[in-house]
Amino acid sequence: MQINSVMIEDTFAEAFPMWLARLVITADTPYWAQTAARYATGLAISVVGCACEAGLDAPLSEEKTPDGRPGVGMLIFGFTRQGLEKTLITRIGQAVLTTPTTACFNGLESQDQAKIGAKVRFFGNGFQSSKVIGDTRYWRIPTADGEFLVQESFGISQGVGGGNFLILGEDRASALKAAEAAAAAIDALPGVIAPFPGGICRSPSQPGSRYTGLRASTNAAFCPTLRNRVATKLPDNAQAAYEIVLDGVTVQAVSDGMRDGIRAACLPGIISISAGNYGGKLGPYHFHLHQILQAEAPCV
Amino acid sequence: MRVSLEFRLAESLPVNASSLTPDLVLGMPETELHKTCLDYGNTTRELGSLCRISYDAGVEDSLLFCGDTHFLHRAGFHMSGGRLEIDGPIGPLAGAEMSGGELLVKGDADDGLGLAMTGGRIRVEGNAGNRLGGAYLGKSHGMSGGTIIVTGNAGTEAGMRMHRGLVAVGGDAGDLAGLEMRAGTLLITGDIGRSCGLGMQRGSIVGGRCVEVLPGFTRDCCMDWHWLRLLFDHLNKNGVIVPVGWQHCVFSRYSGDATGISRGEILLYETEC
Repeated sequence: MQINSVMIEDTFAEAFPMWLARLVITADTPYWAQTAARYATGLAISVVGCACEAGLDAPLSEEKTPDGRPGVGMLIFGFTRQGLEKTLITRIGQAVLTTPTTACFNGLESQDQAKIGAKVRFFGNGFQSSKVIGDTRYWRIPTADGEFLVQESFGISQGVGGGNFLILGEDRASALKAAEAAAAAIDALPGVIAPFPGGICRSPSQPGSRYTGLRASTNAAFCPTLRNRVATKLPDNAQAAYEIVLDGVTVQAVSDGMRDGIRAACLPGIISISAGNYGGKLGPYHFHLHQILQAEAPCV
Repeated sequence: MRVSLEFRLAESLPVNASSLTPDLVLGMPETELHKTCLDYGNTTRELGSLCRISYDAGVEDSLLFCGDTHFLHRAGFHMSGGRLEIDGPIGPLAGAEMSGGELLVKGDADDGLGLAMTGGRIRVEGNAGNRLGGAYLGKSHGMSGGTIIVTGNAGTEAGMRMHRGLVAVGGDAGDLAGLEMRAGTLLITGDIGRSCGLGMQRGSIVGGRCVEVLPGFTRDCCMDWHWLRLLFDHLNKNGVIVPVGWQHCVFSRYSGDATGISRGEILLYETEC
């Protein structure tokens, strides 16, 4: 298969289930909502070395937020439920609560609820108070600019982590330009994030290492400097590769992200698009590139 | 199916309707329903002799009281589910000790509406009497859950010793609103009478104008309150239109009552801070 003379390899990306929460952060202005979300997603790149993977979902207009102020959606993924709860408490408490004028609400409808605001409230040191509106409890925590409002419980559900594709270019500039286009295309979609810096990963990894204690190491097959030392997966004329990693709320969201990202990345100077998998042993979700690009339905 | 009870009372005497909850009536055979005994004045009568019973299969499950409804007291008493509609004014203690379900009054409600209720929703399309959502005399806890919405005015002691939940009054409230309030939210979009929040411990009284703010309350600050945005949005969805300007949620906060633990608040509307 080819798109704009870019070869799409007949391979698949392998993804796995992850625990997921979605926050809605609001503030007096879009700037402060975005700022809070940006800091709350800090160092949330890969569960290989971070407690979670997180990214901004979509900006929200006043009509789409619970308190009628500008907001932003934020997706956060963790390997374990307990780990996700812990990091949610930390990130809301440290990054959202501290940002001027913010409030934080649940953005995921789910039967499974985690009491996050109920723990963040202890920052109030006994001066916090709660309000039940409808069937939902909120906590009001006094701050120096008024009070921080946080929902008591947040929905938790299973999402999909580790969707990916690789962009193999003739040179680094072309590969990076294509990767930037792919990241922008994914950024425009709801329900899916690319958690690496700028949405792009320069260091595709493989599980394990020759050094004990390391959970992952560089994927040598995609490193141009190692093409003569290992079984390379780079075409002869490829000088650089970038990986796009995607986490989504559903299989369909990841599939949509991969489809739009790959299509956007098929630019001049790109030789081929590949994907990372471990022979189907890593996770139950398999995204076959050809099927994703041919059909609307996800391929699992 | 809707069961309609059209009350036609020969004498102007109160009827204790506490046994006529939706879950009981809807599950009861017609003959048994006719023979259900109710207190009528100081006597006891069968329901069939006090009202005309009819069934409407084409409507969602509910119980309807109509006719001489203002003689009924304790309507919806202790109800835990289902829907009870009252087409007309209702007597005292409607929805008292209610724990679930929905009570709709298309008319005025007498004293003690939602007294000591623990859950469910009450909506009154008219005025409510005294001690709305309050406590029985001598009891420490008033309403401890659920929502009461009154589109008209409320009498004295609205939200008295209220412990949790929401009471929203679309008009004015009499004296002693939020008397000895423990927690919860009491919203009055009109004018509030004297001695509002007297002995208040926790909770929020939100209002437009207050005849007086007691000396036990101290002004803290003025700002837009984010939780009020949620509250007003919730009320709008339930048919309570908050006054023009309130959507900006700019209110002054008075904390008190200093005669107690001083953790309550009165939020009064301001056009600007």
